[in-house]
Amino acid sequence: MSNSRGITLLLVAAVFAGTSLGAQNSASATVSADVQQPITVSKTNDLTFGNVFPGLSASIPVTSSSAAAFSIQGQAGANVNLTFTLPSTLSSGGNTLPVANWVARRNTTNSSASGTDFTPSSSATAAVLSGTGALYVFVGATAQPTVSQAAGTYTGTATMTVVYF
Amino acid sequence: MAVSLMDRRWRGASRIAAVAIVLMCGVAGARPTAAQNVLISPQAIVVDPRTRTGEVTLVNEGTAPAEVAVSALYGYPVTDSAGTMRLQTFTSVDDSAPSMASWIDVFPRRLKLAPRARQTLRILVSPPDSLAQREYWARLVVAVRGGKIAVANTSTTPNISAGLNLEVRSVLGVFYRNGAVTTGVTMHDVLMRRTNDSVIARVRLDRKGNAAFVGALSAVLRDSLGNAVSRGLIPLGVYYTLSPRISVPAAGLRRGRYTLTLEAATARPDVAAPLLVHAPSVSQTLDVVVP
Repeated sequence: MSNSRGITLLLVAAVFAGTSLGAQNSASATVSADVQQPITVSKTNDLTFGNVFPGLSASIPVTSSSAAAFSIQGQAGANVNLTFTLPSTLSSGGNTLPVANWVARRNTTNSSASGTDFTPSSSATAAVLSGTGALYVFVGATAQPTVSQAAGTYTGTATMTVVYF
Repeated sequence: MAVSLMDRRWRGASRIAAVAIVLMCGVAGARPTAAQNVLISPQAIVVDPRTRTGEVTLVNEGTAPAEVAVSALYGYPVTDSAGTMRLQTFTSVDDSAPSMASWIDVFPRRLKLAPRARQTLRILVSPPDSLAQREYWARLVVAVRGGKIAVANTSTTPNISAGLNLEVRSVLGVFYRNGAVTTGVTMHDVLMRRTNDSVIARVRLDRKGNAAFVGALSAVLRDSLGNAVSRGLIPLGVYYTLSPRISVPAAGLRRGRYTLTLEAATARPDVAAPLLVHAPSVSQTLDVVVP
């Protein structure tokens, strides 16, 4: 098992001294360095409910193009934990709009059409990156405006935490 | 003339890694450009005890600015009754715990990373004067947040629109080695079962020495001729005790006798070898019968 991937660069340097055609030297150097596997956690889509109406709940399933989407790239086969901090309300000035029924799906391919469903929460969800080191997570929820919900643009923040072991 | 830069290790390597990955992704076009997409390298940070410094490189591969905040906490991996790993964190840390979380300063702690920009975070460690010879641990939390989302409001009359901003946090291991450190594991309580499509094993690993056993647990299924027919591998860190579960694909195996070899080694494909505390690997082999 290789500990790291090695990159070997062959540098060929031609050194010209002034304008003297006879003073041409060349040298080569083999430079090697350990390349470590980086990690990338990406938010690829925000969760947007768009326009909603008083008294009418608006659900965004994980398969919706409006669902939140995350991509994780790391070491193939690595174990990770996923935890979430999710708001129960969105805010617009002093007004709030309830959000509930959080749902999530994870998949080792970039498709929300299939995968493993789980409930996103502060409790850790274990997952394994694919053979290519990928994991995709899709999150949906339901906005629940009250019948007297004030007009406004409501926003909040959802956090996904990825722990590497 | 051959010039080796191995001894410069991960400082330069992390930069090269970040750039190399960016270049490779750009050439291959394998990943779509994301709105918020920050690459972090390395994912295990070993603080140089001479300079008491370390580095983390961030590269914003996305098309939008990213707000980054960095903090530290104390925790280490444990396993639950099903063999699933999770991070055990502590709200208050006992003095006897080998925590370095309170020693860590990161510069800058907060920053805004423009699209395609990169930034090196400097980690400075200020350990107490009388420090026992051993390895100390922390976890670095890198929180990345994008700009505010555009919430659609297409009506000309006052209405209600709603959306969420998303923040992603990556939690990485940080290590500080004071003096000579050693590690190792003992392997016992091996359990195995076979399902229709896989062989699943659990094993208890108890750490030895005064440093975490950072490496991997591998499983190799071999036929009666000794040919490997299936493999599995999980990167792990044994800080105290860990009882991980590992599985290898076993669908379509012919009837017969097989062996499953489990091996714990201080080698990981995602961490450069010079950063690891090395120890002899340990292994156990079990018989597997496919009826």
